[in-house]
Amino acid sequence: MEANDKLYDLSMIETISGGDQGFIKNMVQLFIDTMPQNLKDLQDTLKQENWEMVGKHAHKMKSTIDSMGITSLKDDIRAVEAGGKSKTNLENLPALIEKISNTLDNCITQIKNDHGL
Amino acid sequence: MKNINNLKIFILEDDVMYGSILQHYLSLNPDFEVKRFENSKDFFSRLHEQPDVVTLDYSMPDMDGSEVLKRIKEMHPTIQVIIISGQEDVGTAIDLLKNGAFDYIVKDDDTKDRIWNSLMHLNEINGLKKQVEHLKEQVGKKYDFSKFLIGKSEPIEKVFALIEKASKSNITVSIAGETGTGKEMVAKAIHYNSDRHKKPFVAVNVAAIPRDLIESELFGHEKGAFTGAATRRIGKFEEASNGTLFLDEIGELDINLQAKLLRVLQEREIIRIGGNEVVPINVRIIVATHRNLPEEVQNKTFREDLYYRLMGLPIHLPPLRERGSDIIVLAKYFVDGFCKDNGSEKKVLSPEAQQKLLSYPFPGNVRELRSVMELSVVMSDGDTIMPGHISVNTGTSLNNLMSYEKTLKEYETQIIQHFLDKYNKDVLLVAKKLDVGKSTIYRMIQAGELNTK
Repeated sequence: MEANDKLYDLSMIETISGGDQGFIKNMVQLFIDTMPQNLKDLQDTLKQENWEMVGKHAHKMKSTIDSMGITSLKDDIRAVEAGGKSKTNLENLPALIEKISNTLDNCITQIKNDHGL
Repeated sequence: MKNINNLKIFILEDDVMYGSILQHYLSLNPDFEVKRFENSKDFFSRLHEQPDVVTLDYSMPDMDGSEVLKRIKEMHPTIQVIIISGQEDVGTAIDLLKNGAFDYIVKDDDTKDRIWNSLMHLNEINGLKKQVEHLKEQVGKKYDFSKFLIGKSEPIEKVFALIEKASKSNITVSIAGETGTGKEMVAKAIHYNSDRHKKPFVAVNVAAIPRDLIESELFGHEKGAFTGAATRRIGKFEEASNGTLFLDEIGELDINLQAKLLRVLQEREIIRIGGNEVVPINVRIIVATHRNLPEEVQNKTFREDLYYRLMGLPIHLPPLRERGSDIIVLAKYFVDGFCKDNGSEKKVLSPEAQQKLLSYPFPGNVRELRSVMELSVVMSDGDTIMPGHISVNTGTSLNNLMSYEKTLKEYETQIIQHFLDKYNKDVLLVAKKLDVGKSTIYRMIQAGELNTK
């Protein structure tokens, strides 16, 4: 995936904001502040092969990814969640998480640039 | 139907981002007051604020969703809970709904709209519930004053007849009766059976309001009338406009204010404190006191002219001990009520228990009987209330002692006997304690009036 493709879409947050720019800004900031830690948790538990926690972290990230309109990860994050929870498809999880990590890192960079943060 | 009621919503959601979005979205509706919590500890510490509805993220890290639901329902059964879950799991959903959840919504693209719809639906139900309550109240009050006053004895039948008469006119009513006989109930019965029943019934307990405040409480004040009068305030007279004003414990009214009240009653108009505007008033006045007003008039603590002005139609509420078998009628009524409230089986009063009730003087009257019966329902395990379940404080309080209305001589004997029993029949000590001659006590013992066994 090219780094300059737009990875996120704030239209849902914008709709909900009702035009409140402060709210949009807060949400974006919240994403930038919390996502790195979430990602780290996901990677750490993957290393420990703590599949249940992998599923739980993915579960938590799912709604944030949806809210930020990061559609390219919509299916992947669900696959990780389901895989971790049911301990199936485990051989694919490292690759999926790798992809999720890269995309989110790029996404954070993009958002920071776009919003001058 | 348009809802006038605001809906107070608590969001319990550990995902800050999702929770914030939800909070913002729901706050767009001006009828919704929304608070957000990130963990169940904070949430439960604020639950006493009694939200109307909780949206609950099923997978909270610190407590299982079904556990949270259970605790909410235990603490406040009326709070509605909407579960928001990351997964679709029909089994869990059914369990939660069975355990009292109002709705079960899966986190999805359209979750927010579904929550919104669910809340609107809930708000409508709440509004209807409140309306039903209100109507029930109205219907009950309108037609049935037996809800307020229960009894079949002759003294209370006389009271019923007077209430009927009072309801049909606007005459001032003065209710006298001991504490706990139901003075406010009589006032309400009159109001809700009169043609003023659609207008307010306003009760003021004169004794409960500090002397300095009572004037503004009754007559209202204009902005800046005195220090602390930041806004204009309408007094109780105006609040009761076209309705009934019930002045309880009127005997406690400050003598200076009595003059003012008299003027208001005669002129049928008031002037708010610090104001100039004359406000005409149309209120029916009912007053009550447990004091003996004619006596107060003699002692010059109650104005004679006001007394005559207020007397109107006097209703004397008999104390419970003069109402004979009403004690049992009322006791049964309270027992049935408490059993129903607690969802327990019906209980009956054993004949011995009835006898115990009948022989007790009830200085606290119906109010006391009510508490005694409530306790007895709790204390009794089976379906029969026995004398042992009825705890009345025999012979301890002064009021109780006085209510026997014995002669001074009889009281004297009783007191000395009490002290003799207490101090191991030590006549000298008792004589010293009570400051009476020891020979007095010896004489009474000799006459067989006192028991030294």
